[in-house]
Amino acid sequence: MIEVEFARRGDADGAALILGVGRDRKLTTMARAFDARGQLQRAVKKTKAFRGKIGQSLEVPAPAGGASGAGRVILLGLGQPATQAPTPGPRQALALGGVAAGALAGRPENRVVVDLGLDAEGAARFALGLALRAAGRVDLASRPREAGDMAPVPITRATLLTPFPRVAAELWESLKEVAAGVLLARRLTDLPANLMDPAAMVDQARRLTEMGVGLEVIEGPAVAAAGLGLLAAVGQGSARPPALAVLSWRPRPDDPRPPVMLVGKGLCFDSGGLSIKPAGGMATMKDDMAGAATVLGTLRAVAGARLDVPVVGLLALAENMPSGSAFRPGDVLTSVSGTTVEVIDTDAEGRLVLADALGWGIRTLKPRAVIDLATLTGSVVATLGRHKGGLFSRHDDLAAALSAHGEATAEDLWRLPLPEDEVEELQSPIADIRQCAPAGGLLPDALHAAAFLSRFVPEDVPWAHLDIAGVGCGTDPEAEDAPSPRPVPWLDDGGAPGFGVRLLFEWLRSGQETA
Amino acid sequence: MKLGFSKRALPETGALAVGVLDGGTLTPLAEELDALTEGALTRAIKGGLFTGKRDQTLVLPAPAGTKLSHVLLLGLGPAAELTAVHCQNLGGTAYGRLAAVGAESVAIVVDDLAGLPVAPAEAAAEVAFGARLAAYRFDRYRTSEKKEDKPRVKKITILTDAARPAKTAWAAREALAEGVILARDLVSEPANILSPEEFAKRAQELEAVGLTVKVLDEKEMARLGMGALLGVGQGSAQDSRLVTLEWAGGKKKADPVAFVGKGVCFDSGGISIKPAGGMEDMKWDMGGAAVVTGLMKTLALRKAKLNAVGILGLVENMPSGTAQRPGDVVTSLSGQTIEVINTDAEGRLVLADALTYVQDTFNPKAIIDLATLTGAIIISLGSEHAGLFSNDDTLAGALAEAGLASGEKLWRLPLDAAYDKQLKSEIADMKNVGGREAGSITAAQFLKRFIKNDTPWAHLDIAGVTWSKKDSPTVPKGGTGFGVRLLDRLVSETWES
Repeated sequence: MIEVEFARRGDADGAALILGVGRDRKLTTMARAFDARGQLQRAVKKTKAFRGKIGQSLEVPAPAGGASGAGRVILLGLGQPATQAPTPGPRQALALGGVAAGALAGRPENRVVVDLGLDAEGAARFALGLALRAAGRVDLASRPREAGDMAPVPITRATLLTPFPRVAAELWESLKEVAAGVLLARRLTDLPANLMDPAAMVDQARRLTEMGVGLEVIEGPAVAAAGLGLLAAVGQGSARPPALAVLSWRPRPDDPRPPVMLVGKGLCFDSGGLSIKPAGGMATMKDDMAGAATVLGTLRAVAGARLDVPVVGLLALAENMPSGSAFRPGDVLTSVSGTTVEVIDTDAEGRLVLADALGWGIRTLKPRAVIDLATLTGSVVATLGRHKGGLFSRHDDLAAALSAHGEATAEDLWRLPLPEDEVEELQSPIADIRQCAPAGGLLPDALHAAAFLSRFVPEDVPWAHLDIAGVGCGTDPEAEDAPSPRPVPWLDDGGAPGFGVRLLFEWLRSGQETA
Repeated sequence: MKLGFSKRALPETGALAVGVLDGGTLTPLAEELDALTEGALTRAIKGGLFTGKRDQTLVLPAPAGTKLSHVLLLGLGPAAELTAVHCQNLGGTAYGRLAAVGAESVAIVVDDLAGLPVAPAEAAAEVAFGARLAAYRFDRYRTSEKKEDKPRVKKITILTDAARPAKTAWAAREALAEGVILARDLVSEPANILSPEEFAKRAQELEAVGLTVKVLDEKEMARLGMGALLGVGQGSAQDSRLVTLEWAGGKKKADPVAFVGKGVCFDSGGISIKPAGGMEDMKWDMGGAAVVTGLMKTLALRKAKLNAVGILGLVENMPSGTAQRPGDVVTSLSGQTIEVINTDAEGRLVLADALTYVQDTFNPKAIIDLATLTGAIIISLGSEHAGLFSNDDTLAGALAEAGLASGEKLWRLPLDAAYDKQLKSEIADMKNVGGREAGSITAAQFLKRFIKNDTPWAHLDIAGVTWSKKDSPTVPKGGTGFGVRLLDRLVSETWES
């Protein structure tokens, strides 16, 4: 990750210099100070397409005679008049950082100086956007990329100028842990399934123990022995056995508060099992553990920032494969909570592993609030596309708090209805419940999945389910429809976004989980 | 079938529904009946299956000590929790259970229960309303059905101490029932009967109740420039129509509220033809227009105190030698050009021109459109809620509230510039589809492009709620008329008070 420092003044010698331009196409005061000869303002004037909107940037490769000595100037659209002191909200500041980093991809400079006149909060959020976009996606090519979409951002050091460097640096202390958490979640999600299987995910979880995070792992035959019949069944077709990893963060051992529990779906690869998926686009199913990656990334951020809140993270890890030992449609499974489940479609496996993780965690850890994240249904993509994640909850306060933090961190959620009554399509003639509705017609599968999960969460436990199938995966370059851009496209490099780490971190830090 | 209100007293003959509260507590008239039958009701409850939970029922055939054909015990749950919608459902359930055992005369007791949150007269009228809606049956094409297989109920009587005020309260609900029934009829009619022309004719019949009805034919629409609507209809041998229904119940110069309905009388998909399985459902792709028609009838019948205008965009979407092709670019009435990528995304094309027309002609203060618009809304919300999209939080809030109060529930989904981008076209102002993702939202974004000057507007995607595959207390299988109750409620709460 890039190194970030905050200062009142900085030397831009040989660095890339980021300056601001208003919606009125005028340079900010800071920018004018670097534009004694008027070259920058002329560049803006001549480039009619550059309108000073957020998301726009204009590169001036070799500014002549500027006092800065900068190797290159990048003018960023601020989306507001140049005369106003820029006060972007957290979401806009994050976006500006992303735009800046994107504009530096494939350029030679490894140092950047940013002089936008941002306040402390703005500067710290900008740094987060810069760090996230600059890190790049997992690239296993054996030879370095040349220019183009995949060109890396070579920046290793950033100096952000702000009148409040000390406050900004303090804010960054925790935000850089968020950046590390997001980048971890992204990396784990982007890594292909042959390299990131359940055991490898457990290894990744183990690395957090160095930061003071506790780890308990139920794996292999112990999964079935612990009564986790749903998780065991989903994983039984694969040669790589399933696991439930339980991470716990409790900075004060004497803290009497019950923990907040985060649960992530961790299907390291989801072929669909016997109900196998079509071949087209199946490669993206390496991302089907994005929920678990987000939980791991959030724990990494929480521990790094030493947040004073007890948190447990459950990773429900398995690989769903068709084989002679695979589970079958029609099988009846017994969950850890005793509820029997009739399997209709082995490709609706995420809700099975989550149900066991929720059931086990709530019984064993008695959490005071529960959030689960899962790349769960195609249905939620049909509903909300790739711009917003689906939010299901019985608890209005919790839903509102999560939505608000999602808005601020550019991880948008939209609430969808959690069926209150028993869903007829999930009634089973042989077991307590069906895992999904039998195929036929158009089905609101995301609602059914949420209703299924709700059977494993007592009504008095504040709980939210985030279906991140649309927002949690990388974009498939071979998709028939052109992938639609994300709400803050400038943070996006086509890889998995690590969706949820920012929003969960801010929610945990706000203390609203106790409300 | 007759429906009336009478003084609360045990009838001598026929079938009778009496309420039982949560925990098996008999309501006053049930107690009388229990005494008369030497404890038959108490014994039946002791049997254990029936506890008085809301909507539970138990039929006692020919109880000794009376000449009644059947007594129906109707579970009310706790009296304090009975809402208007619950009362409707109870009326519907009572009717359904007694019609099923062949009753000819059905009496339903509505006692003035302690703690009832609904006034007794209102409760009685709601029960009657529920029974009326439950009695709906579309059987005009079942010519060989045996008489004994048809329901025999000739008379429904609500027994209440508030018979006179209940009758008054019933008048507005009767008007509402008429509107719901008209909407259900229109939705149920097959497409070979209900062409755009026939639909327009039926709309014109509503002049009898006081609506002003105008019909534009294809020539007039072409002259105005409704290229989007006409493009959809051009493949069909049936001519397209645009119908306006006006109700002037408010102040003379007051701007009206507009209701716009998608009326694709049959939607084969056109050249982007649909798969054969389930295509027969596409006769009800005019559900939005049916609801608007039913609603306008209700408003006229109950002499609603506002100005309202209903617009029906009526077309048939067929593949043929004259049909619209994918790739065609059409110019809408608004002047905006549209690249037709998929001829099966035709509803929005019809609505686009209807929306422009209503704004140009009537300057409405609010617009609500209804359409069986997308399959995606069924994948999103199933059949419990219709999708609600709006550019106005106040209107959206009022609609959501009216939905809860009427039992026709809405769930709001987002509009967002990010989704609008999915409509970008390389050759025209927009494409008519935005890809598979977020299909209902991109459809709403498309419509939003035809709303001028930020007029408060809401779009209801009713594809999941217009046709029901199963019976529910007040909605028999088939066309639901979903939207009439909801919008009647919205009108009375928002623009009449």
